[in-house]
Amino acid sequence: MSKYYTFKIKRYLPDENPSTRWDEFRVKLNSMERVLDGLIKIKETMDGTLTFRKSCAHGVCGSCAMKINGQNRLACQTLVKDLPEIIEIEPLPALPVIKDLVVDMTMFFHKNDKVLPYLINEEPPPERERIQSPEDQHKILESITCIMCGSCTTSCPVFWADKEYLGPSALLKAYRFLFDTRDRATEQRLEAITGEHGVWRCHSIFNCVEVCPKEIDITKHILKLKRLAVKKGFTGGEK
Amino acid sequence: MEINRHYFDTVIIGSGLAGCRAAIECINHGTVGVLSKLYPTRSHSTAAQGGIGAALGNEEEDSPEWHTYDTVKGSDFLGDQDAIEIMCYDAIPTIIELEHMGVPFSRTPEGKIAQRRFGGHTREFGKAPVRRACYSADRTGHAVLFALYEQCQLKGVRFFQEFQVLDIVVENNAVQGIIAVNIKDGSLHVFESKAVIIASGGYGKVFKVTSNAYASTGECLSMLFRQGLPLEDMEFFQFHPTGLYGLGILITEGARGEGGILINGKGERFMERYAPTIKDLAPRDMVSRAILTEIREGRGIDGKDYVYLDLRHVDRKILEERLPEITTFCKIYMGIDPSEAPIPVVPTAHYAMGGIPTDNDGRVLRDIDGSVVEGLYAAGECACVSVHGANRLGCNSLLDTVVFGRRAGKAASSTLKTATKGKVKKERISLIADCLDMIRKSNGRETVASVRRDLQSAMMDKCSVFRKEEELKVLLDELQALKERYKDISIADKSNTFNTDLLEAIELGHMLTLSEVIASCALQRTESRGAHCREDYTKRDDENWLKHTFAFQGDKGITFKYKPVKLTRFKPEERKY
Amino acid sequence: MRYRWNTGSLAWLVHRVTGIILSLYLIAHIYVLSHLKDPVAYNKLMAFMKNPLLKIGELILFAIVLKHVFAGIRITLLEMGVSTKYHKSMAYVGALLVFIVWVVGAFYFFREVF
Repeated sequence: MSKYYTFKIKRYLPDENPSTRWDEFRVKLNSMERVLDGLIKIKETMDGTLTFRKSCAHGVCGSCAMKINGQNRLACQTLVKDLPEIIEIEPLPALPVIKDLVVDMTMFFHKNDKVLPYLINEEPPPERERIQSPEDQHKILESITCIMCGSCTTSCPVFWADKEYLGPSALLKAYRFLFDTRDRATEQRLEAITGEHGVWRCHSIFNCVEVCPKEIDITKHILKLKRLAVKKGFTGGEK
Repeated sequence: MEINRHYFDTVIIGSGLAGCRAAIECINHGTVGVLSKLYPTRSHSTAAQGGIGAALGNEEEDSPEWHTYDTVKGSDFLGDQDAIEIMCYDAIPTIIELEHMGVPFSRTPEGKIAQRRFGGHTREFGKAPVRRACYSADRTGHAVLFALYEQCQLKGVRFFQEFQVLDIVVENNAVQGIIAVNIKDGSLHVFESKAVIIASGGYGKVFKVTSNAYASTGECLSMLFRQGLPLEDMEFFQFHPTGLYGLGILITEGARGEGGILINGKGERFMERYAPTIKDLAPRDMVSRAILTEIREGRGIDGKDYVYLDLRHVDRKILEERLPEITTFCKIYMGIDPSEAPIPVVPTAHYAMGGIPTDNDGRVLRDIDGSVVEGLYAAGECACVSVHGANRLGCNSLLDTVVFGRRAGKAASSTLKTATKGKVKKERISLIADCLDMIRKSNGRETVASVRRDLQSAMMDKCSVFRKEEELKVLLDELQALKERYKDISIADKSNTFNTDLLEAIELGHMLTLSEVIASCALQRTESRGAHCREDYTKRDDENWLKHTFAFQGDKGITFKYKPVKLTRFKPEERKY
Repeated sequence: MRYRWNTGSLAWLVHRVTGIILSLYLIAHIYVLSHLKDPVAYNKLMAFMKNPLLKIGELILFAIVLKHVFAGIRITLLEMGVSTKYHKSMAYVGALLVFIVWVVGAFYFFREVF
């Protein structure tokens, strides 16, 4: 059941060499193993300098997002048996690379901060929980599964061209609160996402949907945001 | 070398549930800095699936008193009952508070927080399973962590992500601050503070098969231990009964709460024999032992080393709505659809009941007499209050993190006015810097990976669910040998930038220390209680062992002291389900 | 940078490229028309336009217009609330419709011309 795979990995070791290079490693992996297992094997037995992020190893923490055979994925969720024998691995696109497959996510997380990513409700809370119907909870069900791995935003051609663009992940976060019946900051949040680099920049390219490891239909959410913005009169210009 | 100095009134290590909950408390009273070796939302709390326990009574009648009893009984009577009572009564307001902070709980038809059954949680003192676990599908940890992290952002908590703590400085019985390295560029940072709250989580990575993250290596516990501070009840490590075969990935107990059953190679629902009343919803220690007993006696599936978790009879809609995450795991990693095929499972190292001893307000104890380390607090999995005793009940861990994270935060904040600012001495910093340099320049014959692999296998083979004297003694010898090998390691990556090779070497050193503590404690305790099952001492021995183990680093190895268990309402009785 | 193309991104690319081509064409079109000041020039141009190569060019232009229109319809439908579940099938159906309309159009075009 085991098979040899060739890992072609884009390397960047700034302490050694300011330019990038491609390294090849041949690794024997069984059909249950994932790209992450391959990377770990390489680090443990072939080249200890190979650097990548990892933590939960089962697709819930979002650490190991990288570009695998031309598309963003989680290394821990991609089984090698589903890939060709040559596996090409690069860091997530369009973010500054720190080392090898590790990118600087600061810019990515900073986008979230702009959409007021927290429940805002200044009404005095009731003694017990706020009531929310299962139907209302279902409206945000998909959006709360986001693990912020960054696959979506860095796969978006709009983000490649405009680094200021909020991007799918932050817009999804905005959705998560805008459509939470307990939240009261609709206006503020719509204001925040309808600016020059906001929701209108989305061209429904669906790259984010293709790569989301949690299978969230992000574009659907962004389209709903656009419709909400229109309904509430936040069309980008002066209100 | 250049040192970056920071000051915060409170410094928190770890940004999981306990850390974030404590931070929310502390930010109202002073400045707070939270360090995490990952990005905060990557903390392993996010992997908690099934639920968070509280006797809200939203689905059926329930009371915190029953919850207290269940937790005491679940702990095999080793839990301190005053602390358990605090946790179970605090649970209700704490969960309500979480809901107000924005946690997107699943809902009942009336719009209240939905609850489901979980192992060991019963009504009327053990009569029948009760719906007590509040959940957000099977992503409860994720839902709670995000809400807490978001509140931290709202309130202005400062996060230092990808900072690895290297030393927690305790001098003159008081915490002075911590020394950490910024992983991104290898720079050293010193954080001085009035209070330090440790919320660094578990250390399941000492075992080969575990549900824990790569980051769960427990270095903070070892740092305290090496300074002469005690660790409590380290022999108790929980193995979750249902880890995906071959991978150890957690399949929530909620799967059994929603009707899933365990079956052996003969197709029998074997839990009926081990826990006639609540069957598959027995506490985890019992279910794990039952599974391994079936396997040992040749009743694994096709005689192999796993059993099945069967969800085929559970309504597909329930799987989709309440257990979507584990359904996806099965599809991705095993290529099976749980509504069509049973899931191969085997116990997986899951949760450390033991840890840094604390009082009911999270103050770190430095001895069995209740004396504390000034300004030092611990909460969450790294701490041992002890509410879980010898075995934790499912959905009590998330509860523990938020209840005691909150209490530790409150306690730390209340002393800020009178506390003095800590001072980390230069010598201590250079010691750490030298230590880093030494590992970086190391030139030995061993690799971190090979020593770690052997450590994990040894712990798994000899110190997991079943333990016995000879094996533990062999293990302790092996651990000595591994420590020798560790002295002879070398690392390939000598750089300053994002040097994970170096960090793994540091983690391994601490894992070796912790493993030795776990094995020594396990050898000492000559009884079987909760998750600690000695094949040579199969009975619980309340006469001699109804007490907590405190392990200390002595001059000639590990020494032990014992602290009596706090019994209030419930007298130890035989534990049957 | 290389990145894998998907239905959505290809549809987007084609929409952009056809849009750019049409804009360029429009500029050329207006430029040429605005320079037709007398009948002689007009007739000269008409004679030139009889060139079969240009006829083929017009057919290509027709295809580009169609492609751009249908891509625009797809995006508009999505914006107006048609389920994103159908975004791929809409792209395929759109392409098919482009082809059908183009073939029919080309048929009449050729009958007219030859």
